[in-house]
Amino acid sequence: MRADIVEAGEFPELAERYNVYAVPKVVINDTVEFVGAQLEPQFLRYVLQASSGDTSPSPSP
Amino acid sequence: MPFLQEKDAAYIRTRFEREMQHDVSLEFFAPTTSGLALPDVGGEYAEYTQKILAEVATLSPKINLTLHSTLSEPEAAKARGIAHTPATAVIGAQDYGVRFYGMPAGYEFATLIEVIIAVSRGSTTVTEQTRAALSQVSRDVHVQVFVTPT
Repeated sequence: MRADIVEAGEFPELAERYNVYAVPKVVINDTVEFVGAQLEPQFLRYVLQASSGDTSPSPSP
Repeated sequence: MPFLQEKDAAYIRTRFEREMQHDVSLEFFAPTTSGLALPDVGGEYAEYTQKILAEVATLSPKINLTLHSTLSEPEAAKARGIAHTPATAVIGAQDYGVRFYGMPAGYEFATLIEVIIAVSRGSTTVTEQTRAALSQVSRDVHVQVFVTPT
């Protein structure tokens, strides 16, 4: 498991690629994404969803 | 002029003293030539990032800063999986996979301090249930958190 903290303003090409319009935005395995702080159980659900390879749209929080 | 005010530096110094365990290596990567960042490849951000890291490294004898040029040491960058620059790998007793891309300023400076402490301790405040669930994950997980300094 690895975690990158990306300064969106310094990497506009990445921000554009991942449609970063608001921060913090979290992208997991390029497939699951969400905006804003999440409680730990919800964050875990997103990680498990991404690691299961399920690429259907993320559930709304 | 230092980046931190003395009272903030003193606060962080105390926290490092009380909370750090293992040594932490801040490995900074930028496309520099002879120590100078190239102006057209995020050079200004790289220069400020390096200054911030150098100042943080003075706040604890357990923090070591190493500077790497992605131009002259592409293998070092590859070994740490550095995808962009400027980049900072925060390495403790082992590499926990934490990287900062860009300048850890503003709110992100606080994140840097917390990450240094967590990496130094090799632990976080994550609950047992979450740890147990994560230990079952067999695939690689790559979390990218996009932030701004404000």
